[in-house]
Amino acid sequence: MSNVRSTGKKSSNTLVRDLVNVGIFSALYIVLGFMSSSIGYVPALIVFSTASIALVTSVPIFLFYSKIERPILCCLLFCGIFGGAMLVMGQSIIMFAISLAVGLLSGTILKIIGKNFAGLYMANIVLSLMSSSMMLPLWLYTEEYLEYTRGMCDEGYVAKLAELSNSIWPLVGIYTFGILGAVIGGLVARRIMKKHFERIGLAR
Amino acid sequence: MDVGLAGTLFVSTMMLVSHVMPISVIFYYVMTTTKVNEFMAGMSKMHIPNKVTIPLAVMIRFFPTVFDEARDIGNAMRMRGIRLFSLRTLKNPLAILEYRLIPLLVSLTKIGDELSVAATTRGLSPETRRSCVVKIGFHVQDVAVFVYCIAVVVLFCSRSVT
Repeated sequence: MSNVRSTGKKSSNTLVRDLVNVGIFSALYIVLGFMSSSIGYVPALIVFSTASIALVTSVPIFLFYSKIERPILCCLLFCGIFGGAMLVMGQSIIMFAISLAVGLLSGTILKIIGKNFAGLYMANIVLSLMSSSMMLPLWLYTEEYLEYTRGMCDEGYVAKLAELSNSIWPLVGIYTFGILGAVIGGLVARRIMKKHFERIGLAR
Repeated sequence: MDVGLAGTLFVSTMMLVSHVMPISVIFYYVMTTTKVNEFMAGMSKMHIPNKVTIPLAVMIRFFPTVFDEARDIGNAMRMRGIRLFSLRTLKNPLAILEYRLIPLLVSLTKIGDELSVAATTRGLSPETRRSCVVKIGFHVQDVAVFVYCIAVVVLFCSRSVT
């Protein structure tokens, strides 16, 4: 397909391909995100769940970034769909705003630096902030969030959450581990991209 | 009552299942009964731009595909002896990521490429307006269901306030 693209003109065909790619990868991202964040049900592992999301989703995100042709539009749509899905499932509106901002930022990074390793790596790290923000309501609206979780989970879990929300350090830890997961995941993803996708021509 | 870590895990899992179950049922029903062309026709009636509708439609179509492909790949890998807790994956935990995720990504991107080629051939583009054989509209039945849902929410809120 690369000989078709080499004309340099962005036709509406590549736009349709971009939009289809956004759909595929957002479905995959939501599924993988839920699977890998499920280790957070053990209270002691909540802080590490962001790292596992970032680690597992790095490879699909790298492939997604290297396949799209309009970075800003596609990243905005991708993060908007994820934020909208979270909104439907009961997250706050702040999560939606954060995901739109993260999408804009990562798209701009991809646009400025280009689709080389540095661009993909930095955009992936920025994107990890989005999935880390899912725990943000615990610190912003502590009382309401605990009340909401009390309806869903049992007392032991809520007590652990309340204990966590007392200090700011777990929040710092959540973001730090998310970024750390993206950093390691980016290196893994680079190896996997070289080993598999570039060889069979799925990515350049 | 102290039931230990395993007990807490079990209870919170069961509570989560009981609360997530209705949402999952609705989700499954919507996903399996909504046809993509009807969804797109409805969205274009609501004047939502095609740039937003196309990814959403693809996403709805792809949720079942992701699970189907993952199950098939899981079966193939089980035949080769790559399971979640087999000797080979315990030696190298990242291998399970590689053996399960890479084939899934390859097959999904291949399906997506074919889908976008087929869609382009049928004249799907963000600029044009589509027509649909099925008549989609907002009728008396929809109004009745709408009013019913709002009434349920209002009743629920007034009960939890008092």
